[in-house]
Amino acid sequence: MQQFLSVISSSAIIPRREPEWEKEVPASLKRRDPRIWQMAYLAASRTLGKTDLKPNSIVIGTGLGALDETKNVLDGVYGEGFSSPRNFIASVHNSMAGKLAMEFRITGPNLTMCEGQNSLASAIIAAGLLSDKYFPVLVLVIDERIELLDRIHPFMSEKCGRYLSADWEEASVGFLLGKSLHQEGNLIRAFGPVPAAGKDPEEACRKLVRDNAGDSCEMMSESDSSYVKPAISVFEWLNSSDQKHVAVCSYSPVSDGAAFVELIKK
Amino acid sequence: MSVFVAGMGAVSSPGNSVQDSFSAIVQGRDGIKPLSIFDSRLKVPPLCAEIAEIPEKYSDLYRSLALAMAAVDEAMHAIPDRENIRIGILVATTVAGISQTERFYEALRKDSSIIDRSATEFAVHEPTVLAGEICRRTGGSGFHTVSTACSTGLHIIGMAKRFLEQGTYDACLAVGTDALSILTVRGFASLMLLDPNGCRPFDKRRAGISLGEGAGAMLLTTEKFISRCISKPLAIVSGWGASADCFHMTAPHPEGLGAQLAVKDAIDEAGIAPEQIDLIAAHGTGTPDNDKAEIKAMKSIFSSLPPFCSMKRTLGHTLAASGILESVLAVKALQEGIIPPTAGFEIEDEEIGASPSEVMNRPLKHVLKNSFGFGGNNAAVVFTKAE
Repeated sequence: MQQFLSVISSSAIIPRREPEWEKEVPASLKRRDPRIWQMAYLAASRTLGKTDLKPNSIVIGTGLGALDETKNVLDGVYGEGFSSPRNFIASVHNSMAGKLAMEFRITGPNLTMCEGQNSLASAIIAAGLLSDKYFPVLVLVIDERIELLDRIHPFMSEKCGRYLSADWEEASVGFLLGKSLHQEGNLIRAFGPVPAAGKDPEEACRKLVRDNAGDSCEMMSESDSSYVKPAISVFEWLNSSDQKHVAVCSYSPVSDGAAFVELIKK
Repeated sequence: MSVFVAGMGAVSSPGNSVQDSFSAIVQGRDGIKPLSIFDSRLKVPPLCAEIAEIPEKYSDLYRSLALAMAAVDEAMHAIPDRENIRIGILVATTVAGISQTERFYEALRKDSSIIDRSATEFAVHEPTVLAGEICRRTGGSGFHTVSTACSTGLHIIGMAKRFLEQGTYDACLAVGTDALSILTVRGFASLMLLDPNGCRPFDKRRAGISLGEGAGAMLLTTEKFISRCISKPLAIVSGWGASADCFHMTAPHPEGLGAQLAVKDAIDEAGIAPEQIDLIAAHGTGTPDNDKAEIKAMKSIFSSLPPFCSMKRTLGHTLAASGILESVLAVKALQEGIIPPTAGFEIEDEEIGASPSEVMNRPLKHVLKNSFGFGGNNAAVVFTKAE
């Protein structure tokens, strides 16, 4: 059974809602780092700025990682015939986690979970696997919106149902999670992904919630199927006076996996 | 609670089974040759360990899934009756299905009208697709996709251990897979990390890696379910350690500080003293910095360096698959009591001040496996002989 973790602090960079976010990025990073690293840095910095506690490990959740950098490498190969080493380094899915470890001097475990729309649930589950000494854990969920995906997603959605909605968001959402249940703060845990096995995704999520969180848990399903929407929903719930016990459900159409994040207000 | 290795599978350049791959390792076979499965567009085709022929049963699958399923099927032979067993699937990959999607992207750049083929061509780009598919094909209860570059294959073994200890699953199938792709070949070429003579781990003349492709799979379970398996436990997963260097995105810490943390954690969790390690199956990529830092780290932990080996000249560097593929072969070495040789090594580097072991027979009880990756990511696992 998954154990609850406590949410010590959280923060979000949602570029569409905060178009001037880049002004907050230190000039040295703005000059040399890819945009997705900058998003990761700023969400982590804000999350850690809200507490005196320092994380001892990092878990990142991402659907596609630094996709723009992957595209840049391939453009180099298929176009001009030269790939920049920096593009390649940044294209690796765990580049954000490595960058954050360096920036914030976090020497503990450094994991990256790539689970599409279920990336938040997967990252929280991975955090729960770490030894006590590696808490608090900085969990960060991040994905970027690039033009190529905007062109592709309508065709993907034809095959995979709700691949991405037309107005899907990019974001970087950070959570600092503690292990002790005696701390103040809201509680969080996650389940899945489990194969939906041809069921309606909502039905698959409902069963998962019922089996693990009980009937009293109110289910929040995401109509917007972007990779980061579950993390945005959790962040918004943490900063609201909404229901005491909810499940934020997620579904990845390409893996046919359903998951949920359970939240309890203390 | 002990976590047992109950089944194993391997697909590598020199062999499509654990036994064939292990024989190649023990013979110190050279597994690399000029890349031929696609055009890298480099002036000289790089030396790689490519899989000449995907087993026919899997030939309709995209390459990384085909490799994974071949290893999975071999490992899952260990547990023919899977009824009422909750199996968690953990997948390690760096590039997932990109060997397929990059071909589509190349075509799309030339002809934008083919974008309506995205649905069939691009769907395998997300790493989670691999885990979802393996879960469906094996009747798994849940799946988890990890991508921490070249250390991933060991992390999934450690995470599987935790899942079993927590009781989330009754058994876990840890699978690492990576196929050769233009992204990785050109990427490592741009970093000038491909040795034109093929990788020579720990050798004085070493000048970089040789990429490879392959897959490894391990079925792990506990005392309660081991009786459902057809054979005795192959080994115990006794410790996992993980850390970050916080030094550089691609270069290791020169003193191997991050590596030390991960290895110490793994040995501590195993409940043994460093001196009890009988063999180190090193990461041993063949780059000047990595090999030097790895041995520096090991020397700081072990008062007397145990025998060590690298399998990269035989298997190539199979990225996320390397940790688990080489773990499978390290467990085989543990079972057989064989210290493998290091193909490609000839001349000791005085800066390293140690040479990998010659092949020899010796009873082994504890084997340490190391894997390190981009982002300063470190992982170590200790395997212990099952009595």
